[in-house]
Amino acid sequence: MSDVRLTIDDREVVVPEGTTILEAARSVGIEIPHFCYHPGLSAPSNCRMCLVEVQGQDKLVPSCATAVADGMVVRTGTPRVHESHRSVMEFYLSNHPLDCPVCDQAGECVLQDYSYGWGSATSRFEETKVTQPVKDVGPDIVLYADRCIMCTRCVRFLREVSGTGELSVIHRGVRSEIHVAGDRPVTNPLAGNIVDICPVGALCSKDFLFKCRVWWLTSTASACPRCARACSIRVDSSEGRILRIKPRENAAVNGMWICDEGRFAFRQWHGAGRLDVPLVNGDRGFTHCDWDEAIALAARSLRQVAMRYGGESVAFIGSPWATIEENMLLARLFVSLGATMGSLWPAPAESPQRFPGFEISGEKAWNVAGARRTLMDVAGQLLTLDRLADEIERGRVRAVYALGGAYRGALVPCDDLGLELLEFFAIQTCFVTDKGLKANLILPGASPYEKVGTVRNERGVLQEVNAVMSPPGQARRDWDILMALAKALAATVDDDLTRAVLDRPAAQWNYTRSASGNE
Amino acid sequence: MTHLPGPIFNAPGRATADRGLPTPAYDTPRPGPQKEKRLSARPTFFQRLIVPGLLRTWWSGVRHIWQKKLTVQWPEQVREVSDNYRGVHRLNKDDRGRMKCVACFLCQTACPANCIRIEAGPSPWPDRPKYAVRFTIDELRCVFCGMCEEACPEDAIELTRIYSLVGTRRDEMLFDKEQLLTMYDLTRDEKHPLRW
Ligand code: SF4
Ligand code: SF4
Ligand code: SF4
Ligand code: FES
Repeated sequence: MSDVRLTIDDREVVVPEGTTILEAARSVGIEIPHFCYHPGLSAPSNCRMCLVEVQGQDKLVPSCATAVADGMVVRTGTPRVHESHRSVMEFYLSNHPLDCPVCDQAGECVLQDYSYGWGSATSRFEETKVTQPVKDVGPDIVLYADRCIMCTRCVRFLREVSGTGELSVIHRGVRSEIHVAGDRPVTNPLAGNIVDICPVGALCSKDFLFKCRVWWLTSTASACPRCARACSIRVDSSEGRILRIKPRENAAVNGMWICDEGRFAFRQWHGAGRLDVPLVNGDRGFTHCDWDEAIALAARSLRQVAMRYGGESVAFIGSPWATIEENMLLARLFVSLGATMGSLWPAPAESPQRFPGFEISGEKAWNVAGARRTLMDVAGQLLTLDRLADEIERGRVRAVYALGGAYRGALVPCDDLGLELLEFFAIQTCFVTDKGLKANLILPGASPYEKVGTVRNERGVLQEVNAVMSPPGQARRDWDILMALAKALAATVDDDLTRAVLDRPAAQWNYTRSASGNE
Repeated sequence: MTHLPGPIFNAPGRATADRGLPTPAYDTPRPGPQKEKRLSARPTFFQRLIVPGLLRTWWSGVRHIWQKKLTVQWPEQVREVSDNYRGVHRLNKDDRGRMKCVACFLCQTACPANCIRIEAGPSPWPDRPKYAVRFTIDELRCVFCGMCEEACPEDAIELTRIYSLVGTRRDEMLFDKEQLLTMYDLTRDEKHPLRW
């Protein structure tokens, strides 16, 4: 496609043919106010907020739907344009409840922001405002229809991206409203995105409703641990609690959306039942012990097995929920002990879900590809769990050390592994499961939201993950546990490795820094 | 002309003089003619004599015997505070007796002392989506600046003229919703023309 050269606000802009004025302006950092336009959806051009002046045209044109042309001269800040913004805002605000103090969107509301720019402190509206009910839209979504500005972003999302089309517009003019058929609530797995794209506080998440004002949230950029797609997310937390998760725009990974499973995945790792003390299996069953004891026990047992039966009788199991760095440290540590056999817990498998504009991976862990590749890199080979079970049965493997970290209910499949034949089995994990109880030592590790590191998704894109909070109680980040173990083993894992892992140049990792947020 | 800094409590206040109460006013100039005095770094020979000095000290005590007493004999004597005094908070109720607060968190946001803590929940009344399920103010931490009052869009939080605030434990000073609503019942009939 050929390039088009135009002028926007006295600036030369070169964009591919077919780009809209709004996008062209955006590409050089000129923000044209808009409601109905969303980069991930079609442009119906119905809000009239984005009007700009184009030289040679009598009327103002909607920049979201007008393609650029060679030699076009666009002005986004003339008195006429501002007057148009003011009129449009007056129009929207005349029938708006103006209930910002009790609206969850306040603070990140486009209508509120534009009110500061083009709103008026007084109203000429003397008639009665049309009031509309609060509607239950879906299991997690509530619609405050009063606040809706009829931009139809939600309707278009459900038609174009999820392809489910639960919402529609009924009635006309000031009485038009977003309609949800009683027997067809918005239950599709991408539903939460309509809350994110609603420019006002009309669509709210029931989970987040009233919990916190948005200006108190701390946002942390991370990746979604829920499936192998590892969508770029922004985790909003307050006082060390995760309150909501939103997508970050990243063309290489998730575009602009995330699925609801990922949106609420934090519930699967947090809350009751998290393991927060090291547990050691002794004569009286599992008892709490302190970290020094636990690490010393692990180091002693591993060294004993290695001395008695040789280093290759110690095996390790990496985890698709651990970061690349953690898996690498695990593998290096055990290879340096003489271990040759390593494996990787498989991620729970479901069938992938495909939508017109999104796909949810069936592999339910974020770092499957990264963990596999890292373990292969370091250990040279990777056994399947069946092979490892064989080796255990034949007595060639006497001790196993595993990373875990699965979410609640996703048990690591260690049933058929023959763990009872082992002399020592230790696992770093987040939840104690019945099956985990065959272990000699259970170490409380960190959830994906408590880690720092890198993950590689199924398409090979590397993303940085950041810790939102610290692990609960005495639980520690898995990296820290492994470092403590390495120290106790006095293995050749020293600062060099730490540096090698952490300072590995981004280019070498083909590291794709995800784009900034999508507001 | 140089004014020597006089004692602070030096005259009956204007604002409350009609109540006959010895309320100090901080800004009233010392009554009577002011004698101009030279301030010098070195005391004069006379000032350095010890016995006259002692006598002067003694006299400055004794002459107060005949002066107006300024000490407020709390608690028998209650000190009237000005109309816009900012004391303990109250949570206002509407004419149906429901708390006015809509849990917008604006007071909590405005508070510079970080002493308000609200938990919002769905409201039991149809006229507002949410209300404060819990509302706690740490009166010990509060600096009584009145910003919360200023920020509130519903006139739901106000500072009363109540200043006698006594507790034996810190957590007694965490006023919860019920206590704050009770403060409203206690002060319902007071009118504070300057701020309310
Ligand atoms: S509910 Fe929100 S996204 Fe949907 S039309 Fe109304 S304002 Fe737009
Ligand atoms: S008076 Fe000032 S310090 Fe006290 S609660 Fe209100 S805003 Fe906070
Ligand atoms: S500002 Fe007023 S309405 Fe808002 S939470 Fe505080 S007391 Fe309630
Ligand atoms: S953004 Fe262009 S008309 Fe709505």
